[in-house]
This record gives sequence, C-alpha cells and structure tokens, in this order.
Amino acid sequence: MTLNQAGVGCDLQVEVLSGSACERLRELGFCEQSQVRKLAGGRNLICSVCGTRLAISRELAEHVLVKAAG
Amino acid sequence: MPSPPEVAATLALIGNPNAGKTTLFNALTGSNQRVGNYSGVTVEVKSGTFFTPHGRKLRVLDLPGCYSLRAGSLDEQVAVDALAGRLPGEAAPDLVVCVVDASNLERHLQLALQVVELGLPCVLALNMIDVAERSGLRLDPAKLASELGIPVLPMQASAGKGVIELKQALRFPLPHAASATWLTAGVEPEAARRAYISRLCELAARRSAVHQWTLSDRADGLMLHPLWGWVCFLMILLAVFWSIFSFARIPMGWIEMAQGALGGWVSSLLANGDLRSLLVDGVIGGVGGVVMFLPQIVLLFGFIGVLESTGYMTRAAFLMDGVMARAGLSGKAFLPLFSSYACAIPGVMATRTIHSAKERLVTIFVAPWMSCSARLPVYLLIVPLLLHENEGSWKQALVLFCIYAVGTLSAFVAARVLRGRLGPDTSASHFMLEMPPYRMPQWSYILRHVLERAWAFVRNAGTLILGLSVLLWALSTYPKSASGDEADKLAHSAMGRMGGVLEPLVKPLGFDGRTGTAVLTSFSAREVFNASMAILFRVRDGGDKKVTRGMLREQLAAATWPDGRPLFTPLSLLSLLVFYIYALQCLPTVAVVARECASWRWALGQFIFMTGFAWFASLLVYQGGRLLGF
Repeated sequence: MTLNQAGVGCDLQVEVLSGSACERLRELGFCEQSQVRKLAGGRNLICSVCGTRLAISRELAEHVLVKAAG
Repeated sequence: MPSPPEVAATLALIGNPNAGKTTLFNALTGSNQRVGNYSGVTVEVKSGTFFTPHGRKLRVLDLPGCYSLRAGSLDEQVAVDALAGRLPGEAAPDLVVCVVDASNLERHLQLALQVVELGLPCVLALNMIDVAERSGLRLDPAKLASELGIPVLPMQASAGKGVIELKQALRFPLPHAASATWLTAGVEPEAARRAYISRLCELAARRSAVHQWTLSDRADGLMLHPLWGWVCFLMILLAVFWSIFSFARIPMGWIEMAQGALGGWVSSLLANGDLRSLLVDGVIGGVGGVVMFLPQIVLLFGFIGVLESTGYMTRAAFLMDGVMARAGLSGKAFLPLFSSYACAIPGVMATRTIHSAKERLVTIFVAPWMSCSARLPVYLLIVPLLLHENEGSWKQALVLFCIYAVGTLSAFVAARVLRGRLGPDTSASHFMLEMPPYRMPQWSYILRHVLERAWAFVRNAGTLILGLSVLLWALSTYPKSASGDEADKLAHSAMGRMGGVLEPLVKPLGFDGRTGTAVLTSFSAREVFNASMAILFRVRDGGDKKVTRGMLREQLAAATWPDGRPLFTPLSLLSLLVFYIYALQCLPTVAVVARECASWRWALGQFIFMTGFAWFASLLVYQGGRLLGF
C-alpha cells in the first residue's frame, strides 16, 4: 500500500520508492527498509523516521510503498 | 613586534540544516567572524578564526546546511563548490568537520560518508549528544571512530561541551583522509553507503525503541492540530504584535525624555540662531524621530529569533503550506516571507532554500510587501494621529495588525497572479520539511543576533540618517527669506521649492508639498520620513521648545493647507499609510534582489511596479473616499 493509504499511528516499513523525487526522500531518511511511523495524514503527512519528524506532501507519499512492520 | 600569526590551515564546517553547525561555528570563533562576499556567489559563507590549544591559528568556513552533495539547491551547490575548491579565491579546505545530529545518525552520516569519498580529511562532530542520550540511544564514539577511520568527537555545541576536545583533535599534523571502505565495485554508491550506515548504527548507535512519543510530539499534537494549531498560531502572532506595543512603551518614554532633555540643554547653551536650530531641530529632532523606535525593532527581532530558536517556525511553515498553496507558493516560502517582516533583505536571501526557481522568483518579488520594520516608525507616527490617541491602546495594535494583514494579503494575491503567469516548473518540486524537536530558545544566540541588528540600526541612524537630517535641515532653511512668516520662509527655501514642484503630483493623493517632499526623501530610507516631517513641520518660534514625538504629532495635527483646511484628515492619513504599505523605498533591497535574481531588469521592474502601484492605490483610497463623502 502507499503511505497515504496506511493508517495513522501505524508502524510501517518502506518497501519501494518511486518517482522523480525519491532521491530527496532518501536524503531525508526515507530509504528502502526504513522504519516509519505515520503520525498524521491529510494534505501533508507527518512521519517519524530515524527519530526525526518529517512532513511530506500527499503527492510524494503516493510514491512511497510501505507494508506493516512486523 | 612579532607579526600577527599566519593562518595555519582552513577548516570547513558541513552538515545538515539543524545539526548545530552554526552554533559550533559561533562557539569556535566567538566574535572573530565575518560574512564572506564571494563574487558570483550569492549564498553567505561565514568565515572566522580561532586558536587551537597548541597556539596555531585556524580559519574556519561555515558552509550552508545541506542534506547531500548532490547539489539540489543553491545552498548545496555552494557547499559542494567550497569543498572542491571552486569558490572564487578559496582553495579546498585542509580539513572538514562534519557536524551530525547524534540522534539521527542514519541520515546524517550519509553526508559524512560522501565527504570522505571526496578524499578530504575529516573529523566527525557528534553533536547534541545530550538529546541522543536522553532518548535512550546507546552511542559508542570509539567504535564509530575505529570503523570509520576518522576522529569522532561527542559534543553539545550549544552548551560549549566538547569544543575544547575538538580543538585538541586539530593538532598538527592534521588527521589524514580516510578511505571509503564501503565502496565496492559493482555496487551502487548510495546503496553501499546505506548498507554500511545500517551496519554501523547496529554496532555503535543502537536505539532502545524505533519510535518514541516524545514531549515534543505531544506539543505538536496541539500545535499541528487542524483547528487548535491555527488558533495557537494566530494567538502567537497577535501576542507578538501586542507585546511590541505595550512593552516598548517604557523604553520609548525614556528615549523621548532623553531627547527632550538633550534638546533643552543644547538650547540653553546656544544663542538663538542657525546653529541652535541645526542642532536642536535638524540633528536631535531628525535623528530622534527615528531612534525612538529602536525598542520596537529590538522586540520584533527578538520575537522572531525566539520563534525560530524554539523550532516553532517549522510548525508555522507546515500550517501555512495550505494557505501558501492558494498563493501559488509552498510552505517553504513561509520563513523568507516571515523574515521580511523584520527586513526584506535577509528574507530575500532566505529564499535560497526554495528549490523551485519560479517559486523563488515570485517569493522575492512579493517579499517587500510584507511590511518591514523600517516602516514601523512611519506607521507608529501616523496611526496615533489617525486614532487621536496616545500609543499603548489595543486599538492601535489592531490597526497595525490590519496594516500588516493588508500588505500580506496583497502579497499573496500578487504571488498567485505572478505564479500563474510564469507557468509550471520544468521539474516538479514537492513539499518536504524536517521539524526538529522543540527546545529552549538559545538566548545567547538570539541576544547576539538582536544586538547586531540593533547596532546596525543605531549606526545607520548615526550616519545615513544624521547626514540626511542635516541636509534636509539645510535645504529647508536656505535660501533664507526676509519675511517673518513661517510659511513664507519655508516656501522660499530649497525644500519648499521642491515641495512646490511635487505638490501637483501628490495633491490627488491628499498630500501637500511638504508631505510629498518627506515621502520623496524616504526613498533613501523609510525611517527618514519621520525626520523629514519633523524638520518640515516644525514650529520655528525661537523658543526652547522640546522636540518630542508628542510635539511632532501635535504639529502635524495642527497643520493646514494654505486655505485653512486641516491637512491630515483621517482620509489623507489612510492614503499615506496605503502608500507606505506598497511603495518599495529601499535601495539596498533593490540591489539584493538584483543580485539574488541575477537580473537588474527584474529588480527595476519590481521597483517601478511597486512604486507605481503605491501611487495608484493611494489615489484610489483618497479619491474614492472623497467620492464616498469622507
């Protein structure tokens, strides 16, 4: 599922990053196999990655495929 | 006498934004720093010097914060160029200090590894270890150092801890460059780096829990709430405005008293005549009319500094993203625009973090309409006249808030129109924002910054404004007329004649020649308006009247047209306010815009558009109001 579709408060693991902005996403900490917790959804999402709080737009989140962390 | 010590080596500080680079830079160099002006480079690179415990003088460059050396934005490009020795007049640094946030090595180490790959000697400054340790992270700096092959120094730059150890690590000969052991043939460098960092963090930076719900997150639950977040935001803004008025009243009173006392003392020393008039009316009156607003400007800069330092600004940028989108901008444009409330020049420079070139241009174009602090003296002179009150009342704060709101809304509308005309970007850019945890404001940093700006303001008053006040006084006194009537004397002087020429141009706006002249002089610096008005409207009766702001307001309230009608009616005051909201009266801003946009056409276009718009808006307000019967 995409990051947008994931529920708020869920612990997720990043599977695939696609799209033209994936380089910047990786620089911010969204890499494959990163552990992400979605804190808020909406127009801009707030996620917790590697101890940092990151806000990314909905369009970007569409390109991030995640699965529920085991 | 021994010659001054030579610089033994040059260091560069590199790191992500928010890693504490500048804090470390300030801790190292203290006051021995200056902002670099490299031709062709518009980004600020600060450089400073310090001495190591071994007595060597080292030079250090504070490079702009960047997430990687891929160079996506201007800031990053400058950092890359500096490391490669491509900055004009700068060789490549002898050593690079990578400042990383110890709480977030997974991300920050990426940049450090890229620097090592460049073959430059490197030292890792593991900053903010206090926060990392508090959050349960188990760090092993020795292990990190042995794995990476470079010195690793834990520190807390904001408290000055670890800085001495860093200086000691910089003993000569400097550490060698490490080799990039993670790079292997056949594996993509980025993937290799990620795998290496992942392994390294397992070994030397284990987290107790992958995600934590911190106090900061709890605060964000409120501050970023779709409804309450906005309520908090507006309350904070209003509180800032109101505080600027009420707290500043006391020091302003002191400045006023001092000004009056000084004027009285000088008057008592000198005989009635030109010299006394020059000193009391020209110098003390003129410069005083500007300096008395120092408390408010200090408070404004102080509040902006506190909001930035606590980390709230990023939350505000997050909230504002939706609103900015309607103006064709993104949340990234919020900080530059908000900084423009203090001064458009740093605001324009802050647009470098905006990736989209077109959005950057638009932001730069509308930034001067966020009423800057130089307009405050003008607003604060006119608003009490408008309300027939002394300052401090909440009504004045409200009116001032409305003035700012009008400027801001116009800026957004203009941004939207302009963005539409510029068309879409060649490469799409997306909203991405890192929100650092809330922290206590760094008072020493804020204080230093505020004092710098206050000193710049006072120095400006003591030089440019003093010079202009003397010039204005001379122009309004000479040539002298034989007549004893005040109005005749003024009309006869050079300033009066200028006013006579200007009057037809500004009369439709509700201003007379004197006001028009004052407006013209304020194109050199907006605050000069107050000085000019003080000189042009003074009552020259030869007595030792104290020139105070209250006095100036009384003089303005009593001013009339030749036929006896009051000059400053509410409508003409409103028209004057509108003119100042919109006119671009700051030549340094025009120069900075030309530099940032690399185009004089854009800067001049902005100047002509804004000034013309101001004239028309003023005309509309005045004539429209007359038609409506005000």
